[in-house]
Amino acid sequence: MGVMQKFNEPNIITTSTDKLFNWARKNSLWPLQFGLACCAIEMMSTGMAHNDLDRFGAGFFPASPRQSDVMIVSGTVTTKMAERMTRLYEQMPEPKWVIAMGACAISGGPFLDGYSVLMGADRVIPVDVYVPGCPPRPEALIFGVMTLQKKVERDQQVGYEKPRPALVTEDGEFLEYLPEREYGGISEGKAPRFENIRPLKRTYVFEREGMPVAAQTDVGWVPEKKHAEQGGGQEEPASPKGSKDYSAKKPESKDES
Amino acid sequence: MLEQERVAESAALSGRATERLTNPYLRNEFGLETIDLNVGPQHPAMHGLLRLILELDGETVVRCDTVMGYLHRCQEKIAENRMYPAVIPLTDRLDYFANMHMEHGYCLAVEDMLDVEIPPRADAIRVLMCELMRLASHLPSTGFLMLELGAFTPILYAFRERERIQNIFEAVTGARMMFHYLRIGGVKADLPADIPERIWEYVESLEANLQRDFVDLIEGNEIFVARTRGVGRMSQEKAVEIGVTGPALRCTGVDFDIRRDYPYSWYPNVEFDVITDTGGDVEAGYRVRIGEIKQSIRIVKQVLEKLPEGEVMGDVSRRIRPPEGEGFGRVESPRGEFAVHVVSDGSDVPYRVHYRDPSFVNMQLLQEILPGHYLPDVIAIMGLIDPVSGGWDK
Amino acid sequence: MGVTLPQSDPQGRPEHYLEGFRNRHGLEESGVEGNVVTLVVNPNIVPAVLATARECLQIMHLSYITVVDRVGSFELTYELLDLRGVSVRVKTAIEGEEPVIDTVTGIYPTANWHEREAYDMFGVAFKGHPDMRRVYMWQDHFDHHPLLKSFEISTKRTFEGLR
Repeated sequence: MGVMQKFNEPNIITTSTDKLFNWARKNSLWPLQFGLACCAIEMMSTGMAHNDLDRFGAGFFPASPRQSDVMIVSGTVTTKMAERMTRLYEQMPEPKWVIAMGACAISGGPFLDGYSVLMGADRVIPVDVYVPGCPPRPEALIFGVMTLQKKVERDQQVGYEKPRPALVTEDGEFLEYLPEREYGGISEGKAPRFENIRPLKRTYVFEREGMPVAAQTDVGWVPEKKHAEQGGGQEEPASPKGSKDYSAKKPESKDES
Repeated sequence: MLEQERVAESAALSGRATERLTNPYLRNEFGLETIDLNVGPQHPAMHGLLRLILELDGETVVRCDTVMGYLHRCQEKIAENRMYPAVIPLTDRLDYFANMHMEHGYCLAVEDMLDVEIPPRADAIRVLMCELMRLASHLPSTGFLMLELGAFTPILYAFRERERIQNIFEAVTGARMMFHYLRIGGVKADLPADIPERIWEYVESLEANLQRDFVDLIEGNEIFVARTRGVGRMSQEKAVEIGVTGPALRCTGVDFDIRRDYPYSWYPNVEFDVITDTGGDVEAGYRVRIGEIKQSIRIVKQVLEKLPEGEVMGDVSRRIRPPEGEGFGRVESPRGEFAVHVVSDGSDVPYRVHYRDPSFVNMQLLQEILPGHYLPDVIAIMGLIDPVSGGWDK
Repeated sequence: MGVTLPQSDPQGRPEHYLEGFRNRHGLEESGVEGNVVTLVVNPNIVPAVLATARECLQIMHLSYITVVDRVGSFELTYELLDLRGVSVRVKTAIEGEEPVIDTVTGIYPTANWHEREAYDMFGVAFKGHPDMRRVYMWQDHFDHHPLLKSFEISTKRTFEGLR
């Protein structure tokens, strides 16, 4: 993707490639096989012959997160499973999206007051599309997938800060990035050898300054450092706050016209 | 000491790889270093969130540890904060493949406390719905077994049948999956006028197609036989010791069926056979389930022929407040014995609800039976036990 | 080698079981209602009673173990099924905040996971259990036993907050 980042603003080349890439991506969204509970049955039903999800390109459910695009969180997310779900989400390569299917994944559902139930999957991972229902009908899930397809169509590669899906904390604050998590000395089960395994060290992209989240797997592009003499608003390098750049780019020209 | 332990363990093994563990020449040649494999909570085996920590010697399982709790939804605790009728939607979500049976068990337990008489038409409708649910559960179970063994067609046919049954349920109850149809004292509403005809036609077509669509594809298939005959074989004593019930118990030869032995609801008025098989392995489990599908069709036809007239709701007040005491209900769900124990202290909400779920108890089989089997057999044995994660994790 | 089950007709068997229990143990209360035999016993003799049930009376199946938290004591119910129509309910009450009782895993191996669940949810300790650890909740940093009455979940606050 190094070619795209050479352009600092959208132009005809990038919009054409955007159309092509988004068309390709939206028509082959491969969901991760992540059925948790009852909604998984309706997800399976949607994948079966009567309500065919394969005609939207989303019929192949890989079991490995490394090969999937979409994670359909179908079912109740418990606290024990939330860690594993986040780990799976982190293992999915960009671009990735999340559909929260069913009332339990949206907000905890009928088990809202449970002591081990997470009140919604968006407490730990960013969610793009919410599909309500308990369980949602297959037609509703198909509608959710189509809504995600419309969202994917609006993606732009350059010059546009991808509106990141909301990540809501318990206090109601919106976070932009995934919070750092620590793995405690987890060991369940009897096998004693698991006690001493050290957790993997994870680096988030925001540890390296100046990098946009979307380039998590690609180190290829580094922003150019311009001199401080150049006034604000003109030809600033596309930083993570690219949109501010773009809108601040031509205040003079807008005023003139 | 390790050797003796292993030999003693392998004396009780039933898998095909016992030669590796008992023959000292084979063991010493390859060493006895084992790998710990974590079949983590998310895995393509379709039966829910189960974590198996397997200790493997090559490809042979030496020891297995089950870690559960990834879908623990605090159902028993939440039920203490909901009024009696409001617990029924929660029970729907227990074993989400057999919703009607879960509701039935809970309703029987509360009706036991209230001492209410249920009209015969309500009982008959309950039995009808439960048997249709059994069909809708056994067919996908067989489909999942085949999917995990690698065959994709049977599950498509199974879900086609399940869609048709779900359409019938939608016409009767209004929902495809979480019905909330059985109420305390009876059933929510009567069957629509054209439903008995529709169910009759559907059941006849299923009976005609079962052989062609399912059994012929699966039964004589070499790969199916090679992968399931002799796999997971357990003796009758072991099965009863571990507390297994349902098709997994009947496939060893013990004929215990709660519908016949602890009769409830309208089952004394229908005739059916209890299917058993002597194999004790996965193939026997499959045969028991196909037999039960045929018996369920038989029961459905009998109920439709003899459906009594009358009301569908007993004489129950709107405010359900049972006297202090305990109520017990027990049903035969497609996975085994489902029992509910409700304790009441005279108020609107139950004091304690305890569900005895068949999947929870049947999962103990894994720790006992897996040693000696190969890794792919682990997945086939899950098809024998057929657990549902909403059940074992409540 | 098979498992022999009693004959299908439950006539007279509940009384026969009741006799068998009464002859061997001192029961606090006992009775027969329909096809159900109910016994109330002291917690110390529960393993002995269940051993009688398994070995002398051939009652093969332990269905479940329920624990009820009456604040101040814990009431356990063991339900046994002889697989042909009769069931036996053994009830015990353990006083105090930290209940301890002997395990019955040696008699009914199926009790293994039932007792683990009772420990996880209520903190009932079973002496002699081969594998006493939690089954539903996570193993580290969770020191509560959720189904106790003193562990409250905030239904009202949850739903109020949402509106």
